[in-house]
Amino acid sequence: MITVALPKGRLAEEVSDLFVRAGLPPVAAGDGRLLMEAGEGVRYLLSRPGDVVTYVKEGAADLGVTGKDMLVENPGGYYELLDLGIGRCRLSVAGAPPAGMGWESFLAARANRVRVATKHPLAAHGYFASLGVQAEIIPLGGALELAPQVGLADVIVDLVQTGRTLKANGLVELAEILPVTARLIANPVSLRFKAEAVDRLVRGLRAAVGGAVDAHAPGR
Amino acid sequence: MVVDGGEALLEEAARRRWVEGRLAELWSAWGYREVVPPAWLPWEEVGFGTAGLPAQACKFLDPLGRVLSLRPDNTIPIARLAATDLAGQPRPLRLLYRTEVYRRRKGGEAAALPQSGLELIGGASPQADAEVLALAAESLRTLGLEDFRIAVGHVGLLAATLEEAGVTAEARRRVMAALADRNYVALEAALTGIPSLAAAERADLLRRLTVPVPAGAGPAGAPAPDGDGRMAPWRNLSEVLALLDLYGLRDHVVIEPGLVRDLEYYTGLVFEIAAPGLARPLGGGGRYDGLLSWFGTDEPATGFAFEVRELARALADRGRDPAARRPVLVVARDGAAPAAWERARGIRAAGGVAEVDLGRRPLEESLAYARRRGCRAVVAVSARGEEEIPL
Repeated sequence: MITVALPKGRLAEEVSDLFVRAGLPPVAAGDGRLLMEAGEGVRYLLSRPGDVVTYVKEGAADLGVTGKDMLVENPGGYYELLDLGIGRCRLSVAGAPPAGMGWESFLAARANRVRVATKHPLAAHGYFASLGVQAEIIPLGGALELAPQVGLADVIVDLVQTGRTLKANGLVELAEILPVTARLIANPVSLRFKAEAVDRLVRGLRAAVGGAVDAHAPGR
Repeated sequence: MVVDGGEALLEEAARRRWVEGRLAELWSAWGYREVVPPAWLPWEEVGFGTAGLPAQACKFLDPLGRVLSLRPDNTIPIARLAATDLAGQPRPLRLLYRTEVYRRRKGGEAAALPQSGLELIGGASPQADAEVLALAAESLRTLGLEDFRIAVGHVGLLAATLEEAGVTAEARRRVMAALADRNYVALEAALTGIPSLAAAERADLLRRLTVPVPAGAGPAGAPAPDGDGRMAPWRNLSEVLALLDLYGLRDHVVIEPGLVRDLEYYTGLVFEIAAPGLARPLGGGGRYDGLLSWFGTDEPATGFAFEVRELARALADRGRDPAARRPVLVVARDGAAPAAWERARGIRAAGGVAEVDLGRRPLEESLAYARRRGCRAVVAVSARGEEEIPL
């Protein structure tokens, strides 16, 4: 039996399509069940994208699918096996600078000190440290676009897909931190004790991902 | 920042100490002698043979302004002891230790991690690697863990394989970093950047590096290589595997050609041990021939460490609590304290655990204590004799 932790929400449908193309049982999401025997020795577990990493690290799931941004937030303790090429978006800095002001002058105007609202504290901290900018991280759980509008933060660091939500809240994308796609991760012990089943699943997914990933350079 | 100070309470502490004790006992019987490595080391030593360790170290200043680090690894300070204070000891030098290492995890939080391990210094032969591997396996059997698996790789074989595949020195660093990170997406990216590697060759190399092979299939799942570079490490690995056959371990061994430990001082055979149902590997180790040269002697060495917390957790998960010993509570009645002490002494002499009640409380309270404490029995001792009170 292989237990695969999958993210609820945004990614779920894309994941299910990809899994079916890979010859795996479909993910019957949407009926409220969080744990399902899918047949063919596969069991799916649905959780929040950030928690997928925890399930895999702690061995409650053998494999997991989640965004690269979540791996950056929760490093170590698992194998990153495959770029699934789905859920494509980017982790970016966004804010509301005066018209015509670019990212660098925005930072200079603030003497390289910014307050950053984010769900991605590690990635944000790493990015601003690499710029030599002193960032005060304000951890928030969601609806980040609100923070600059009410003066809680100067900028936000968040996932951006189309930029529509940013625009609706008067924010513009200032800089990209990390291109994000969904990744397949594995628990190190499962990899040894369920090697054959994991390899079969990985080969199927690799074939299903196919040219979609080869078309661009894989991420780091 | 969360700090994991390595604390362990009551049953967990007992289980941990039991594991450490049994391992030390077994390893002593194989001739390994205990050393207690220094708790801190000069900052520069943290970087001896390792590029990634300094980022994980917890450093501080002494009053003279010198930078020191809490021991982030046991092998480095033991290598120094072997090269200096123990230089006069005959070789091979067999050493064991049971102490914590202090590290910052990748997220930044500090942790104190108890390790039990051993080092075999001054032996270059395949017999040395096989002894260390066999002893790791024997350790798990001693603790009652039979269902373990040992993943074996070889740093020399990996380097030669990459070189023969045309992986350039620059790309090799990225490949090794990706393998140490257990990041196969980054591995594929590193291989994709190599012009001499055609798509089919790349796919083949990627599979060879990432898919484990049962040891029965031979090293790296391939017949003896024709290239000169791979011949020596391949033969070394084959000899160790043949010796493991003699130890009856072949079925427990899996070859992972791409296995790279997170410390760069390893030079030859490396391994990692896992047991099913546990989230993390139990430990690992390997050959580190270059490390002692940092301390002025050029000696081959090999060794391993177990993560004691993981071993203790494995025992608890399997419903084994070898350390648990339930006490008998001895209560003195009507001022019969000397008789109660005598009774407790008898229980202890017979190998049991006895607590003497401190008195000055009603018997009811003593009984309530005994129930919550998990006592085996309560014995009330008085001038008239003794009576066991049911709990």
